[in-house]
Amino acid sequence: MTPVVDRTAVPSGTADSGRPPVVVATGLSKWYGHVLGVSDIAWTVRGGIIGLLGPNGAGKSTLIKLMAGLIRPSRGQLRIHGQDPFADRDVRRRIGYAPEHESAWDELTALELVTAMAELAGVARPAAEPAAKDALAQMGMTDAMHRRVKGFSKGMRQRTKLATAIAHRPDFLLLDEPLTGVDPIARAEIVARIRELAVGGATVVVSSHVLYEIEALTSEIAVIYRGQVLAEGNVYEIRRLIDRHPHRIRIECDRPRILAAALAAAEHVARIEITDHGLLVETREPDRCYDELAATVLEHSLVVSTLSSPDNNLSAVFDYLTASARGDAP
Amino acid sequence: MSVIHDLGYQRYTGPRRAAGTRWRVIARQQVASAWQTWWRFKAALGLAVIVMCSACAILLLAGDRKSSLGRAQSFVITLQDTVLPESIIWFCRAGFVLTLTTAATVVASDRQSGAFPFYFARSVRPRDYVLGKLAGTALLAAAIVAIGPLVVSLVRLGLTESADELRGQLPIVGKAVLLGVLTTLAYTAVPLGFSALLGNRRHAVALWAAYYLIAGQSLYVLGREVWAPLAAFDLPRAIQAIAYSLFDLGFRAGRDVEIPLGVAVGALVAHIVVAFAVLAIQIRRAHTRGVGAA
Repeated sequence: MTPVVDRTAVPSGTADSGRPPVVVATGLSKWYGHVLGVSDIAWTVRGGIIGLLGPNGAGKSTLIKLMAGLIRPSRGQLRIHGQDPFADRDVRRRIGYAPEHESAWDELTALELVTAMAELAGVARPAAEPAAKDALAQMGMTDAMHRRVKGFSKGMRQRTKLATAIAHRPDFLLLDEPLTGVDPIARAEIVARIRELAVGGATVVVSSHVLYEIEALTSEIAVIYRGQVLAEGNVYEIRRLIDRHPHRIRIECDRPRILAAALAAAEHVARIEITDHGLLVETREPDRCYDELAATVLEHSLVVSTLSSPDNNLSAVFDYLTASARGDAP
Repeated sequence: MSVIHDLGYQRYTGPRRAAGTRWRVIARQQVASAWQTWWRFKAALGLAVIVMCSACAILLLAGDRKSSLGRAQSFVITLQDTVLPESIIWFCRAGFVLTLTTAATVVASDRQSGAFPFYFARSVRPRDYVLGKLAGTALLAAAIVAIGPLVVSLVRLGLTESADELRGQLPIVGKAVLLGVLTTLAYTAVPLGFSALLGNRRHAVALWAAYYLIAGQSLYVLGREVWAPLAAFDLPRAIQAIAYSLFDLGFRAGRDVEIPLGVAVGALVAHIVVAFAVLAIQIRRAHTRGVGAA
């Protein structure tokens, strides 16, 4: 069976938000000569944080550049807040974009750079410097704001770049690989800040091929593969839609054989493996399996020390989806 | 189902900078960036200051000495009157140093470092970028090739001994300004045009230097040997020819190639127009085709 992914569905969690869509892409395609960037993308974003996932070269950066108004679609339509981001400059005031790379203007100080970027984004000159200071403070760069970018570490450059993206207080943020090269402490701070922005009402699209980075930020994802949206929505709901791979549940308890015997008769259980301290169950109906597990545990007064689902995470979902798309799934 | 909580994050709603003034930010950024390192701008500025001080010193020390320039043609001209047009070629050399460190790298650097997305993801138009880079580079170039001649002309005025002589010498200020403007335009637009041709700053500088030094010198030699107007396509010679004509030193050309004023101005304007067109077309093309799309 192939994964069931409804491409026309509005991502779960955003359909009932009552907000007008921030991003609406219809039949969106972009080619670079004969090279495909993205192809026939239909996608709607209404708010929150959306993780844009995909392997290198999948089309993530192209999609982000299209949304930032940096490139014109070859075909199809893209609207940000109802406007064409390439043709309509006004809508770009509402967009904060942090590109993947982090070079340019090494001779300027962080404050000079962020101030200039805020002004270019439309902030009036007297308000630009306070806005830049605020943005740098949010990224934990207050102490370094008067230093030249030239001397910054990669993480500091990333944080300065993120400050340029938020200095003009946009309500739609496009962050292309924002956590690359950032140390763990700074990463946690940046993740927290991005979450604050989103909780406060900003819409954030974050691209990454590092899954745990996205996992730390959001469970709402869009998986891009070979220029197409392979899946979109809540990662756990997407996982539920993937029926090619049975869900695995790992249980550690004092009497695993009793539990195994009780579950073995169930139709939805595909496989049971008894290990030293417990068992691994593969099921096609995880909700039903959890119900039966609970009933058996109570019935036999079992002591369960661990209950986990090793493939109910972003990494597994991503692997399953891309493997299916490649056609090399088992 | 997810829920979006609106806890009051507001996009910026304060006063806005008019869209038509964004080029000023780019110009300011260009100047600030050049000022930060000694070798980008200050080295050329230092050279220009040395030229200016030397010219002023000669003016002060020259007194009533006659220039040797006019002797062959039986003209009588004071050394003081030849200092400004003679110094132009030196200001041009300082200008060339600036173009190597700054002007000829501007667009190529931005392309190479991926700065375009920073500009064009904001509400910056290609023409804002072009105008901003031209203005910023022109300010830098003017400090090298326009301020010096103006100061020298003012010092020359200060050396006049009577009101009549002052009135007679007043036009040199206008001539110095005109010369400064033309030289600034040439040393701004032309290297910027070269910087837009290639996406690698070193290659852009090399191309510009080859054009300025090798092609320029070759054309000058061809002009001397074959057809004089060709020499006008050597930028510093064209500017020098304009300076000699403006200061009535046309006879000076007898020692080199005689480039008529019209031809010199025409060659300079052609350089500027072509360079500006290249710059505008390349930036528009980069914007339309998708910046940083690799």
